[in-house]
Amino acid sequence: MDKRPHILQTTELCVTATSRALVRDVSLTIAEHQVFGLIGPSGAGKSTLLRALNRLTDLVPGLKVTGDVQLHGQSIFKSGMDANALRARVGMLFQQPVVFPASIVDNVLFGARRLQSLSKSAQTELAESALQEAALWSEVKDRLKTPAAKLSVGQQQRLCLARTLATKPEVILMDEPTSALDPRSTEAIEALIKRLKSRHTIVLVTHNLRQARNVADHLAFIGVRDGVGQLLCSGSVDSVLGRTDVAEVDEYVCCQ
Amino acid sequence: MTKTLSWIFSLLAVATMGLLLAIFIWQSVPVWKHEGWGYLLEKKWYFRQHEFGVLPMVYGTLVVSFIALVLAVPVGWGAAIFTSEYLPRRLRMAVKVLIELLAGVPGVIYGLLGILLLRDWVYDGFEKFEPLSGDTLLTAGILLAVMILPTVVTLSDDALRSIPSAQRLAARGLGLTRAESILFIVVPQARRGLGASVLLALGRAMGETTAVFLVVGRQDNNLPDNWFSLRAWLDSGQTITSKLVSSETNIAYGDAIHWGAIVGLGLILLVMTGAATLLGTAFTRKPHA
Repeated sequence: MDKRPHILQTTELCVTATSRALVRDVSLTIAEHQVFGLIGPSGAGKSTLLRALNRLTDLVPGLKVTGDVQLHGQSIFKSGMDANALRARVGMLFQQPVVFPASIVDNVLFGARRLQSLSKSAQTELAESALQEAALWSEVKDRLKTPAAKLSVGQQQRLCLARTLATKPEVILMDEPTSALDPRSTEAIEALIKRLKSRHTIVLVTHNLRQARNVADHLAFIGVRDGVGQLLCSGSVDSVLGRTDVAEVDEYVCCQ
Repeated sequence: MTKTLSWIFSLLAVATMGLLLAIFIWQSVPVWKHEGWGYLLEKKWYFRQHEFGVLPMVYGTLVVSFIALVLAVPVGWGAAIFTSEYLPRRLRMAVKVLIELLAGVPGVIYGLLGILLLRDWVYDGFEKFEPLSGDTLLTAGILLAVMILPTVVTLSDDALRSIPSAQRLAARGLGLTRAESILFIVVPQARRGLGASVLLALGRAMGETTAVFLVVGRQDNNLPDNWFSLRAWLDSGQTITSKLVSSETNIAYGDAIHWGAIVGLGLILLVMTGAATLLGTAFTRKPHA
């Protein structure tokens, strides 16, 4: 068992759309400062599960979440929990980079500026440190005022990461963050993920077993049974990928 | 083949517009010869004396349109934010259909409602300023505001909806509230479309005829010394359209100069609405910076 303290814990988490269940009975514990990988076939509800962890599921009309998610032992669904503040603590990186039509530096500071009032110098400092952390600083430091849309897709994804990092999240949820990127950018993001875990906890949805082996410390396999996404097994990377007694895992690993 | 055809039809459209303008210019030549620039710049319309200056009507058109925009734009944008960002999809569609139905109500119906409800309300409500009647520029402006509201709402709603939902989700994912994500992400990106909705509504307001005709008072040569005087809004006035639709147009046809003055008004209106519409369309087309 992992000795590090748990930061996130889900208990019998179910997500239901109006007509059918998407994810059922997922109970996971995620330890601090590790990369927790979620793998499984498309449509099994990995992204849905991920979005339940910072209540982005609230934004989809008709989605119902039951069970519980605890952050540092406190339910994120309890009354009085500010979902917006929660999302700043549990940040999100999406599959496609979504930059705002503004300059690079404005993109980085976008979330942070809304959360607290920052002096000019504090803003400059924060932008630099976030871009450094996202390994983008050296590439953009001379053109911070240029539109973010001018960056390559790989750079845009790192910019989105910097934007999330600027809000100082404890946990970063990543939803197939490299699936839109070329191999070099993918490598850059993977190297980053490994580095980021010293200060953050990362929950990573990935389709790519190579990536899972490369960056994850812990894996959970979400498969479809009875038409509903369920947690079929979890554990260390090798133990999950080596499971031959769970047919879905076996099939998934073989097919790649 | 398709290319040739589309060229032919585009040319046809442009030629029609050109022909229209040409006819209006040609028909209004007598009054330009008779009055010179005074036709545009002077306050006089005495057709029996053959004196034609359209400034009060241009003023009237601008004032009623301005009042309409001032009232309709904030309400329309607010309503659009509500329909696009807060209403669930199905309800939004229902509301949009209703709003578009409103846009289809004939102007004369609004005009009747204006006489029924608005005229007395303006007369009583602004009693302190002693208006001579309830038929004022302000009455026409308020009525126009109601009429262009659906245009502002639907066009703004479309503009807001055209912003990808990924942008909203990304903003919410950063911890922004819904209001913040609308204010800082959605609205700034939709600004061109929002601006276009104003210009296209302006085009509609300037061209609207019957409803204005019924409540504006149709008083010739009413132009305040100070164009920005608010008190003047409580006087009767004349707009380009209310002039054109009056029976004077029929009388004018027998007299080249008088007829020229009338057609000239049409030309001015055409240029004003055309400019607003073209500008509005150009506004939406330009890509984001």
